[in-house]
Amino acid sequence: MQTLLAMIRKEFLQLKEDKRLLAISLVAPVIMVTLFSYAANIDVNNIKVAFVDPDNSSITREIRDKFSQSGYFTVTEVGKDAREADYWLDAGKARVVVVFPEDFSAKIQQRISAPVQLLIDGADGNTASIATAYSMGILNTYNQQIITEIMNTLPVKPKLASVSAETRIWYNPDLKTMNFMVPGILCLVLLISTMITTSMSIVKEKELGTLEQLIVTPIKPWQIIGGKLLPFSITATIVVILLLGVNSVLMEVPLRGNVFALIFLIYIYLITTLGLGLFISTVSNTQQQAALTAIFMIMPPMIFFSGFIFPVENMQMIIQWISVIIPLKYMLVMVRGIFLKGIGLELMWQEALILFGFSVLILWGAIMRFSKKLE
Amino acid sequence: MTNGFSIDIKNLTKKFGAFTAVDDVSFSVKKGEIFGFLGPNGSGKSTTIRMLCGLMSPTSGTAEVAGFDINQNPEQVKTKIGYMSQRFSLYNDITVSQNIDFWGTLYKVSASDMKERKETLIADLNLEDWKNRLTQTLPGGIKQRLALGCAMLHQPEIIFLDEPTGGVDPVSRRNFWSVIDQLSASGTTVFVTTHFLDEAEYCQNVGMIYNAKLIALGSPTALRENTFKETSIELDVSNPMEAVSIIPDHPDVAESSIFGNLVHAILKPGISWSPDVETSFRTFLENRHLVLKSAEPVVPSLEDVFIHLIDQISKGKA
Repeated sequence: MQTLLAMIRKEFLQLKEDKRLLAISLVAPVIMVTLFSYAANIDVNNIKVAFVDPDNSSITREIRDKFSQSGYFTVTEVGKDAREADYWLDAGKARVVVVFPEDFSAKIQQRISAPVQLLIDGADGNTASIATAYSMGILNTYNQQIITEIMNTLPVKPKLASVSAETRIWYNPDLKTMNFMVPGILCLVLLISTMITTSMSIVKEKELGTLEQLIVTPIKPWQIIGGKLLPFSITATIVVILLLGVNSVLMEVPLRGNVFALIFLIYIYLITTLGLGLFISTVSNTQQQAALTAIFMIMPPMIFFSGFIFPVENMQMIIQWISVIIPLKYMLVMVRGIFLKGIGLELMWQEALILFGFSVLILWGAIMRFSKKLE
Repeated sequence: MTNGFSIDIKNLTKKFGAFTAVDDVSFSVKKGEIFGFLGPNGSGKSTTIRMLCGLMSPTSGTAEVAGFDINQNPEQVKTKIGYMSQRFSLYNDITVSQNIDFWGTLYKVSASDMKERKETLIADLNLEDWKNRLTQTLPGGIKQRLALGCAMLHQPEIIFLDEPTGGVDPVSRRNFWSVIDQLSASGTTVFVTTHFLDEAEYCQNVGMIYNAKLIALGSPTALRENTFKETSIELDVSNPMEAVSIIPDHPDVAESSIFGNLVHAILKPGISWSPDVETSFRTFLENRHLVLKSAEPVVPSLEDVFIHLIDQISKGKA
């Protein structure tokens, strides 16, 4: 016990002197979460729209106004020649070009269907499909308006039945990307800060030769491991509190569930991340190797296969199979559940158990690999 | 201590893949002795010391260190020994005082013993003014004495020093060896590796390791006498370049070589240095118009011994 306490004390004394490690473990996570949260925004607004409007009638001007007033579009160009559309799209001056024919208003007035051409920049598929949907919506609303106007001119109003959709969006009613991303980023940042700092701290001792001096004393392996993992779980706790604080002030992602359930899960998750850090340190001899192993071997599958950005259900079957062994996948489901849905462990005990299983497995594997011998 | 030996090594071998770092090495070190383990870089010194400290498992063979088998009880061995590796390996980023406390706790030194030993250590090294400063601010020589002090806090039976004087200035080196002498006088066995062969003169016994094999073992004096049966003399002559080609004609001389401004001559077997021989040299040189200013026998250094042994090994191979 004395030995373990001496190890923990030493680790904090060193952390106090090592400004870089201190910054990586405490300040960087907060900055990363804040920056990530604002950058990782796939909400679509301010879509650049341009119009080819040789007609330039009151009707086309009304439609143009409906685009600019919708809140989703910014009108960048208005011209008369359809050939200009190519240039606008090529040069990125517009993502959507609406092309009215010359006889557009004449046809509407004669109550003949009038075609409108929509040219969409499809390079970014996500934005393109959203822009298409918004454009269609605006044009449909205008159609409704025409029909209503015509109906109002009729002496006898015909009875019409229609399906009216009453939409309620649950959990994230404003469909803000940030609400979806922040809980995930929290998990990712914890992974990076604890895994990298733990592995760096052990490998640094290997590089300096102090690890050799440590293992020539009667210290037990569990005391070395505990002396490394406990200090970093304490700094991680501080990071979690800081991050929740930053969230409630800046990002304002609602935390609807139980904070204690969240913290309980975070501790299970930390066993995984610290275990991974320890594991990396057993396969690396230099801090560069440790960093590269973390960045190239651990981070990519964690980021891409966990559902952090791309939903697991959309992936190829083989990737879905791989994702089964990604601990972050389970953590993400639970953290998003607690933040946004406000649900508790009673609905997520399976994920919690699986994550716990991974934690124990990874930590046990790392401890087995960690030996008090030099080879 | 089964047989009065502090360290008893039997057929110790360590292989890294196809490379043999230590090849069937056996020897013993008596309690309280300063044992020098000599050899060039990469000859297997550090690997041997790491096996003896329980830091590496031997591929085959064994050793008893402070009465414990290094294969069966490496953790017991660790309670009885102190170890100082080649590189300074205290924590640079905590204070001197914190380092002493840390290593003392790891060696399970009781709080009361600790207080006294810490005070003694700080007083011995004159570190009163430095104890609350970061360890990295200490001068090299002091750092190394502190590292030795930290490795000795639990008063081990044996202290292993791996190249303790590498990169240390000559004055600090001499001080360091006087500390080692004191340790040995108080009954601690000192096992020290070095590639400075002059330092081996401080040792009671030395082992020489070359290409993973033990090539010589014994006291420095015995090694010299056993290796060089013939007498070497050093001659100060008026014209050394001319003298070196003439001297082999002298009936008592086996070979000669130039050594700075001096000439070294090895006498034929069975001939020792005497005033008569000196007179015959003087006359011999005067007849050839050379003046002998002085002449005296020289004691071969351990470096001469080591180089001679290596030469013999490479001749044996060829």
